[in-house]
Amino acid sequence: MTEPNSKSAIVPLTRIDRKTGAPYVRPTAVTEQIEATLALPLHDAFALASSGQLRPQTLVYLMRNFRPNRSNPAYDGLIVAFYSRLERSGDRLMSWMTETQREMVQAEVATKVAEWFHDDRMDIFEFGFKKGAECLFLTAISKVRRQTGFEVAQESLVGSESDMTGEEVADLLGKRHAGSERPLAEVRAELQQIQDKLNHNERLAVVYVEQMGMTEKEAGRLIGCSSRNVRYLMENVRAKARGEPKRARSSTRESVK
Amino acid sequence: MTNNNPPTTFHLDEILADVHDELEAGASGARVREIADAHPDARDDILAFAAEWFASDGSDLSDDILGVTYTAREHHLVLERFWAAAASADAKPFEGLSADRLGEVATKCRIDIDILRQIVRGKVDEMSIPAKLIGWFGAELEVPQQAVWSSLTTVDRAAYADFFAPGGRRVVGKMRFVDVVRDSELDDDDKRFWLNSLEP
Repeated sequence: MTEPNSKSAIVPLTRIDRKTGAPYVRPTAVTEQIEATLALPLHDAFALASSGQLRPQTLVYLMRNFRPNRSNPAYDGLIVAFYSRLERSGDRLMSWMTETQREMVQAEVATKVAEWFHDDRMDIFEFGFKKGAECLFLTAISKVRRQTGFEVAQESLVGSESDMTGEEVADLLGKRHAGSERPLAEVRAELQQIQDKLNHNERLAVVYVEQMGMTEKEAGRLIGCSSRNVRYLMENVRAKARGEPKRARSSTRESVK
Repeated sequence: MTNNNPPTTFHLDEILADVHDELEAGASGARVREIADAHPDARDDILAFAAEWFASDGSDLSDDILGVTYTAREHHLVLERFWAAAASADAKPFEGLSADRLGEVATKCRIDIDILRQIVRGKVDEMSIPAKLIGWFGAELEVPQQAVWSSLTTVDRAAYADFFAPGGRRVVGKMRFVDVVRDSELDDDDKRFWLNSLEP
């Protein structure tokens, strides 16, 4: 009888966790599933993974360690399963973007994944597929945002019934805040609770201005809009925080009267 | 801040992965600014990444949800891009090994040298081999598992069985691993080890 092989057939992760100083470790359930999968003929293992019956980390493990030297249908099934899952992972993260921006983000993500597979840097996806996908998408989204920028339409600063132009309202907002301190310290504690009332751009404005303590000008540069737009977004946030969705617009109109 | 000397893509990926870890561990906005200030060349990238993280609700597809009834858009382009990036030089981890060394590797991996030879020469359908055996080869040869697998799936190996076949390139001429083991001279314990998991 041959002695059982003492070396594990599972390739360990190599990326170092800065907190522990040790390599990342896969969740136990993932390790157990990979072990069970490795006992199968590769044809069966590939079929299970590509049909979505295995954990996404196991799918990535098979893709990383059993990539053939040429395209074959069984492995191509893994690739399509991986990218399908990856695209789906980004749906909610990109829900606020335009179709064009989404396509740009998807292209960024796909390019990065191909690069990471090539350089054998997919550890993060084996540690947690969701974690890896979020990291990639957020990187790509922040990049695309800064490439494309955004501006709140001037006309959306006022209700359709207003006789003011967007430009006039924007100017008023500017005068009201010129030289004054930010008045929203008391709202900060409530922001967590009303987070779901804010749209993505409003959330970004809060993060930059309130959480990171940036000026509206700095925030505007990073969001890709003017400081006036940041001011408008913060006005909306304040109104929503007070439970008065139209406060910013109506108070502006009132002050004009 | 101007980025006169931007970090390499690799370096930036590493920085953002660390920022991601810190954010998930509860880093504050002030902590993010501290990290950004420590990496002036990547400052804007770090701040923008963290802001998107704070503003986002995260992906709603957890790792516990297995099947995804969704097919990647333009998957033919995805495949094309993947294989273009994956093109690599053939690795030959078994080449140049002495018969003694091959015998030793085979024994450690619970097969015999005859089975190993047939695998290396491409006579065994590689897709019928248990994945575990490829992992053991990698561990014993101290080469990446991917290199072992890659060496067994080259065009040369794929063509081996077909070369003599009248029908041209066909893999049906190859033997299944389970049949090779069953007909081998392996001792009963090792035979059972493989056959138990491969035969219904």
